[in-house]
Amino acid sequence: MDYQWVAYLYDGKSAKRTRVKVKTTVPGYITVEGLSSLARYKLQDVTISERLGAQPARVKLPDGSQLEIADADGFYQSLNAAAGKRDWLHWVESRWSLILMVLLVAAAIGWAAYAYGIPATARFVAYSLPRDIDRSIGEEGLGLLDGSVLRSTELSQSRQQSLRYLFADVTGAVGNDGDYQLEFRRGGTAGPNAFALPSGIVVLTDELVEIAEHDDEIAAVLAHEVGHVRNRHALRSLLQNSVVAGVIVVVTGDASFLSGIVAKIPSLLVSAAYSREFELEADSVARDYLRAKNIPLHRFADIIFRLDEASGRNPAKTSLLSTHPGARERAQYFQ
Amino acid sequence: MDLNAEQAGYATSKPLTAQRNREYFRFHGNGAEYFRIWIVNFLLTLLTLGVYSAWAKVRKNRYIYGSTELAGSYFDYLAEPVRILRGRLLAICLLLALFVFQSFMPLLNLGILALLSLFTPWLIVRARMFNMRYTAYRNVRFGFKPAYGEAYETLLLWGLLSVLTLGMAAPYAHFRRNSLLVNNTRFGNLHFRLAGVAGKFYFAYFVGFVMGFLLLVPLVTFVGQQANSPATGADSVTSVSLAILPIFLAIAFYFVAVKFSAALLLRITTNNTTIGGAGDSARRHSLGSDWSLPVMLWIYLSNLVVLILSLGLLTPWAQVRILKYQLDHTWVDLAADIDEVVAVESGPVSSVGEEIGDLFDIDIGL
Repeated sequence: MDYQWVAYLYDGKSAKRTRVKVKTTVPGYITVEGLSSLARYKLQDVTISERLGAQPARVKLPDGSQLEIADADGFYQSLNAAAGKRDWLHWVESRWSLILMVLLVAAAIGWAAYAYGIPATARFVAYSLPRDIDRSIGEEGLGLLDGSVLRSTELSQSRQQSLRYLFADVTGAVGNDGDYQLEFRRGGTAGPNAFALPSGIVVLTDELVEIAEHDDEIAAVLAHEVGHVRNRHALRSLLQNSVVAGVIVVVTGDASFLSGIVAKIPSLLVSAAYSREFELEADSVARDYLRAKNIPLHRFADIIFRLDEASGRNPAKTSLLSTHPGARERAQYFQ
Repeated sequence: MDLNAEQAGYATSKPLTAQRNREYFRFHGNGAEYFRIWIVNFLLTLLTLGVYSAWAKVRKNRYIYGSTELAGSYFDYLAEPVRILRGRLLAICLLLALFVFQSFMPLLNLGILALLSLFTPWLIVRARMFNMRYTAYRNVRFGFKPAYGEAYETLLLWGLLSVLTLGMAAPYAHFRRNSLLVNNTRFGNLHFRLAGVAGKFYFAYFVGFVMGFLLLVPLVTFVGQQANSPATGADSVTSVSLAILPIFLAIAFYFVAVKFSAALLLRITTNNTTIGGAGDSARRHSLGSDWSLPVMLWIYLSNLVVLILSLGLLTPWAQVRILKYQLDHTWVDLAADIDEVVAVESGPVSSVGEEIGDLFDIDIGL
């Protein structure tokens, strides 16, 4: 094993460099040769940079000057051999077999966090926060939609009244103690649709009422929307997506030079996947309602197939980016 | 690194005279090695719920800086992890506060955004101060002057003017921004200086604009034809490719037009930057680069494909690849001996600005 290395000494006062020889022949000491006088330092008086790849080793001397040793491998080896220790990080980082294990463990943790950790934490946090948060998240939503997509309803007063009774029946059966309110709108470009605002407002479009062939179908859709409100999906998805975005910032922070677009792809995929899970969870509320009222389950399947058809979606297809599962996948729970 | 190569390196570093001496940067980083460091960083960050990310950042930057050689000496990253952690925690608290605020009062959102943009010049100066304070070469630190007034004038006033002039002033605003970043930087007692080349910035913007236009016309026509062709019913392949096409369009447009002119702007900035010699042009060092724009574009595009196919796993490889190309094609023409540079004392700088900038994705560099 070598005990001496060529190094540069920088005095820290100027950019001047002096070529010196560094020796580790005396255990516990570093000797610098090549200056006007021979200098010897106790190892505990100097700071040696952590070993990192094939980076030059840097030794900070007590007077503020610094040694830069380009042939760092041998230098670190001789120091570690003398002290009988090991640079753990460097040891792991220089072995592909361990790196493969690191990769597998990281993938397992990442998957567990995505599938269980993040959803469970978001659920816990969402349920421990006051309901007012949901209300403020959704408060201005309807105003925004009214100003852009939605138009005033054209349903008759009596039809509206009967649907309100239906809604009261649904919230009585599957809603919790929150305030629920049904609003009617003409969907326009949104077409046949129903959606829930976190504050408990459920919006039903005229087009959906027209496309439905049975009031039980509408009731099932309303129960699905109440499911979104009751299970606080808006807040939970906000929380989950923020955590995912945070993780992606940490992971791809390195790649900011081209991350702009690339970093958005995984977060889009993950938030779509979470959204599909919330849809299935809301579907199960619809199922509970239909069962409780002894309504045949296929009523819900019927209307979602019709909705897919109306919007030109392929019922057999669930793409990685869709926020809703395909109708065929959802319908299998309603047979 | 073997000893012989190093000694060969020493042999060439003869005492410098007033005569110009060109020294190239050399990047010795290696994709496989950096990948192993990166993935260990990632696992430890996961296991510690993010706390290790500060240590990971130091390890990552030490690798990049320490792989960069100029005239036989290597750059060094000196920031301490605990300092970074402190800034990162503050930045996260700020982000959480904003998040809560925003969910309670969505209308305040715009106000917060406006407030944040008022802070941006301060953030950029602080981040730059932090990064320079903890970068060293030959045990001499870099520094950045806290030129807050200039930053506000440059970023807010000229930013606003470039909006008001519908982009006519944008290249000039960009030039001022780069001048701000370059002119307040120093290495020891040597000050960096960007020459007045606003005209070249206009040229670079013009090139990007023309390229984007030439690219958009045929693509838009193509999409238009596809959309107008009679629907083929169950042909889901067509509908899928139609849905994805705009995304690819946006990416292609972004990379070819935006990245190309960005690479050109960086080259213009590098080639017009001098270091030191304020009163004596004979002692003025100058930076230079000759990276080829088509090659840069190729590296960006192929990196993008590799990153998507590897789900981001090859990020370290992609990063090393672009750094190596750029640094190996950058040089300093030395007019005097670097030994004469004198270190300048400066106090510690907090990392808050840098970390907020990181978290909010504020573009801080050149």
